[in-house]
Amino acid sequence: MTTATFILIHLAPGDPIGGGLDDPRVPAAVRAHWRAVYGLDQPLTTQFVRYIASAARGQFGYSFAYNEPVSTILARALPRSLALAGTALVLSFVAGVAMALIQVARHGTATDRILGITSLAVYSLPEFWLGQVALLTFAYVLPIFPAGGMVDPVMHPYMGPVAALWDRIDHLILPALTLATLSAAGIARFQRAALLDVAADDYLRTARAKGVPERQVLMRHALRNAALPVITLFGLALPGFLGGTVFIEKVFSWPGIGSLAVDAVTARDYPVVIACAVLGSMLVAGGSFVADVLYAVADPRLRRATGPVRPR
Amino acid sequence: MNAPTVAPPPGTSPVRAMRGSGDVAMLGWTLDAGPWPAIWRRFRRDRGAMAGLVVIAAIVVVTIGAPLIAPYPPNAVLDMVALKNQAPSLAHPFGTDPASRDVLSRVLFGGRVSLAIAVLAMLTATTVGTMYGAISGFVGGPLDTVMMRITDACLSIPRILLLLTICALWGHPSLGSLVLILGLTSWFGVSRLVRAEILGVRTREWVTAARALGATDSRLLFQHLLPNIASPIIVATTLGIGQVVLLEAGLSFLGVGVQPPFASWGNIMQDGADQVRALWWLSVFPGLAIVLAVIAINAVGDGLREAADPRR
Repeated sequence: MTTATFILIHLAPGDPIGGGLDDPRVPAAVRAHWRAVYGLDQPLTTQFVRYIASAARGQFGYSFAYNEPVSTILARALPRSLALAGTALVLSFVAGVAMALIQVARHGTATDRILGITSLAVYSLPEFWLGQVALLTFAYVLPIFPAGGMVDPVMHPYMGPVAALWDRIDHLILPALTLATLSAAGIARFQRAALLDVAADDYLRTARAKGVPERQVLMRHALRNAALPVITLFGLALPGFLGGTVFIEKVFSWPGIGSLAVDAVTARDYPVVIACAVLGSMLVAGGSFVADVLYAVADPRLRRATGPVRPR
Repeated sequence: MNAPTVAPPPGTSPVRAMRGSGDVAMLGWTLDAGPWPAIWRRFRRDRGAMAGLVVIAAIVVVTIGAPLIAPYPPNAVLDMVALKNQAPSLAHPFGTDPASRDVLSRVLFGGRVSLAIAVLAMLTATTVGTMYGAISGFVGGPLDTVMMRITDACLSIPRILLLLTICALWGHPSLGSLVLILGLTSWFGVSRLVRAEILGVRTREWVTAARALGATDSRLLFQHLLPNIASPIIVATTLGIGQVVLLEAGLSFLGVGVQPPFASWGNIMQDGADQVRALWWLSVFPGLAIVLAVIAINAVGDGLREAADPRR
C-alpha cells in the first residue's frame, strides 16, 4: 500500500516544491537548495529507501506545508477524527439495528414501508450535501448548534473545565448525528434483510410455539442469530464510513484526518497525503481484525475450530 | 427457466415459430427468451421501482434536452455586477452563482456530465470486474486465491482517500480520465460478486453437458456461464451507477473531480461551498438533483434485485 502510493505520486506530473517556488522569478539556485533540504535531488531509489525507513519508524517523512514531521501532524489529527467517527459509529449501529427491529416486528405494515423508503432515501444522500443542509438548518436557520469547528474560536481558552468540555460536546453533536444518520440507513437495510432471512427458521417457530412472547422472540432468538451479518457489515462498512468522515469533517471544519487529507491534496503536500491513505487503510485493517474477533465471540461454532473457518 | 442446455446455433430462429410446440424439446434446447419476461412482469408490479424508472427517464430526457430547456447557456456570465449571487427568483428559479451564471441551466447541463460519467465509469468497472471475476472463478486454484487477495487488498483501501490521491496527482483530470479513474477503482466489488456466482453455477449439470458436447472453455464462459449470471451483474451495475454519481459529486465538491468549464452537480456545489449560509441555493438545488437521481437509480436496482431473485 505504502509502496503503491509512493510510486503513484512520483509518476504524477507536478513537483512538491512547485506550490511556492513555481514562480519563475525564484532563482534556480534557491529551488535547488530547497530540493536538497528535502532530499528531492536524490535518485528516486534513495528517496524510496529513506521513505520506507521513516515510515517503519512511524514518522512518514516531513510535511512540506506544515514544516513538521508528518507523524506529529497525524498524532494531532487522529484523536479528533476518532472522537467524531467513534461517536457516530456507536450511534449509527444502535439506531440502525433498532430501526431494523421495528421494521421486522411490523413486517409488511405501513410502518415497515415508510421506514424502508426513509432508509433508502437517506442511503442515497451525498454525505457532504446532508452535512451542508444540516448546517444550514440547525446552525443558521435555527441556531441550535454551533456552525462547524471543534471549539468556540474566541471563548474556548477562557472557559472553565466543565464549560470547555461542554463546548467540545456541543460542537460534536451535529457532525456526529449527521454521520450517524447516513450510516444508520445502510445498517438498517442490511440488518432488516438479515433478520428476515432468519425469520422463517424453525427455532423461531419453536420458540413461538412454546409461548415465548413475540418481543422476546425477536430480541433474544432472532437478533442473536442475525448478529453475524451485522458484524460482517461492521468490517465491510468501515472504508465507506471513513469516506463519509472525510466529507463531514470538511463541511463542518472538523480538524481531523479527513480535513487534513483534503487540504494536503490541494497543497500537493504528498507525505501527508500518503500518510493519510496509509493510516486510513490501517484503520480499516484494524476494524476487520476487531470484526473477526467479534465473530468468534458471537458464534461458538467458530471458537472450537483451530484454523480460520468461514461459514459457507 | 434455467437457460439453454445447449445454445441454439447463431442466426437460426426456428425458435420463435415453434414456441410451445411439442417438437421443441426434441431439438435439444429450451426455447424461451430466458428469465427476462418473468423478471419484467415482477418488476412492473413493484410500484417503487417503476416510479424510479419514470424519474430516471424524466431526468434523462430533461438533461439530453438541456439546450432546448435551459434558459441560458451553462457558462454564460450574465452580468458580473448586477446579476451575481442572486437568490432564486422568477427570472432565475435556482438563483445565480458568484460568476453570475444561471444555476438552473448549470444544473441541467451538469446532469449530462454527472450521469454520463457515472454510466460510462460503471460500464468500465463492470467489464473489468466481470472479466476478472469470471477468470478467477472459472480457473480456480492458486490463481483464484492470488486474484481474490488482490481484490481484498484493494477493497480495504478507503475508496475516497484513494480517489482523492489519484485525482489530485493527475492534476486536472479531463472527463475521459475521470471516467477511467472512477471505473478502474469501482470494479473490485463486481469481480467478487461475479466470482461467487461463477462458482455457484460452474458445477451444474448443463455445464457438464455442454462440456461433454465439446464446448471450449471460452464458449462455455461466454455462451453458458456469463448469460446465466447476467441478472446479478446487472443489479450490481445499476446500484453501482448510483454510487458513482455520489463519488463523482463528492470529488467535484472537493475540487478534484470535474473541472471547469464543465459544470457537474458536484462542482456547482463547490462554487458555493465556502458561503453555504449566504448562497444556500448553490447547495440545495444541485444536491436535490443528485438525491433524486440516486434514489431513483437505487429504487430501480432494488426492484430489479427483488424481481430477479429466484427465491422470491
